[in-house]
Amino acid sequence: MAHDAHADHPEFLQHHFFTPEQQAASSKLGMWLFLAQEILFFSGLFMAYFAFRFFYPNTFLAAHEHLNVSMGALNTFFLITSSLTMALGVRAAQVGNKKSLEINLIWTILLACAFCVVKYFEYSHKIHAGLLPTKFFGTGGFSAQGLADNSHIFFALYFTMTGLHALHVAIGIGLLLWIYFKARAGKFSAEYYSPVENVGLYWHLVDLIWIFLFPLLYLVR
Amino acid sequence: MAGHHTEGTATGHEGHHHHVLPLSVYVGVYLALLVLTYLTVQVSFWDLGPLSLPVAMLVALVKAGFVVGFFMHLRYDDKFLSLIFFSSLFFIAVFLAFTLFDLSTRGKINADQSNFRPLLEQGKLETAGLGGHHGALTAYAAIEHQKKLHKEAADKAKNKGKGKKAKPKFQAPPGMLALGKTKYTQLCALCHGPQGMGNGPGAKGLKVKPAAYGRAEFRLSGGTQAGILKILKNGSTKNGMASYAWMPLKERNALAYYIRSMAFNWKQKQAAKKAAKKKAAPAPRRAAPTTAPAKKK
Repeated sequence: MAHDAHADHPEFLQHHFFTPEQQAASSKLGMWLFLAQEILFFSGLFMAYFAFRFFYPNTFLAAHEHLNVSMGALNTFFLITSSLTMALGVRAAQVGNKKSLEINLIWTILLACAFCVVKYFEYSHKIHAGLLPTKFFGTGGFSAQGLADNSHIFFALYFTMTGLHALHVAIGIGLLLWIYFKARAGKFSAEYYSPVENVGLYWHLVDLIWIFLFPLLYLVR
Repeated sequence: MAGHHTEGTATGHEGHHHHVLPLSVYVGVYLALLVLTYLTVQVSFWDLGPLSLPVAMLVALVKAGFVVGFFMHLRYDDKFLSLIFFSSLFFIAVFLAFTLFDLSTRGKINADQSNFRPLLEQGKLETAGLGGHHGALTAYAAIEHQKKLHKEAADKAKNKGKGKKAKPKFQAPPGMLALGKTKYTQLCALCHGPQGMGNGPGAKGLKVKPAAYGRAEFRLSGGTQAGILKILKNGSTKNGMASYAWMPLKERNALAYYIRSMAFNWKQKQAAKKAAKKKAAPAPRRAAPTTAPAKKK
């Protein structure tokens, strides 16, 4: 289907765009606007984190000891690696390498799932230990005395921030699967790969947020 | 839009060009990210004090820069996308910076307000909110402290009902007395004496003897928190008292609490002695209130 863009409409080009480039640029613009909104949306939680850390520096220092640094580091590794495979996938799409795109998407999905598995172990351990700030807080493995005063604030932030991030990971897995099946069906080409690119941008943002969450939550000093 | 970057693969004859980065760039960025992750973890074990958070954030920002610039292609994309991205960062910077300015200076404003002092002296305000550079922290402590005072007052009332005597105790926000004692021993005890009796070794050569607030003898400050803070800030050329304006306000505040607690404990002792003399006949069943305000059963 090699044609002049204006001469006829390729299948992937929606009728309200003149050229594939215009369509790609528009969808990318929309994606970046969405990402800017995502960043602003997360910044509220980061502000809450900084404010409470400012109020209770010692509580944060003491409470963060209950997080497992190696699990956090492992998850950082998974996400950064998945970011690489995603970027390689987008590159494969750019050069029209279908096989490589599929393989890289599979790797990205697997690493995202690995992230979720680690997160599952972290969460279940903390919830059983009574660190989920609800009315059961402090009733599990840790007696209330074993925790610094106001520790529930730290754990509320921990669960909210990582929980919202994990939700993004879960949505990301869904999007990646969708892209994967589309790729297998041969929907993408070097001329048309906007969905791959935009899901890629989304996935990198998920990585980006984790890059800040990891030192703030796991590595308090 | 991104069409200026014409290198990369030929994607047909439509002029549909995109910038394809060589694989080595991706691998390089990936390795850099791994090294920086390792670095963040390592840095967290160094004791950088107050710098640790900025350093951790700086490393995270560099990592974010790599992800955004290369993995997300922002470096090579239309500049308008950069504008969108950086404007969101700009607004976050405004959001974080101004909120933190507010939080960090709340206590300070109160301490410096002229209309705050009279209230302090009348004992209508708790002074824990006088916060130096940890203003918000102590402002928060003030609320907690107030709660504690109410609770203790309630407990006292209960104990009275049961006929138990509660030992009078000097009230100060948590941690302040200990901090004050440390600072006192380091800086004041030399002249004012370890017990505040004005008889430290440094007092020998002085024309005007140091104030003996350990006997509740206050010359300039009147023995109020605000008064002591004022003397600590300005010093007194007449009496030879140095200015401690260089000290963080929180520490000066702690000093004032500690000094007041000395005078308070001394007064308690005197009162107990008087009471013991009056009763005289039966031996005092109870020892005078202790000087140590720390422990409570």
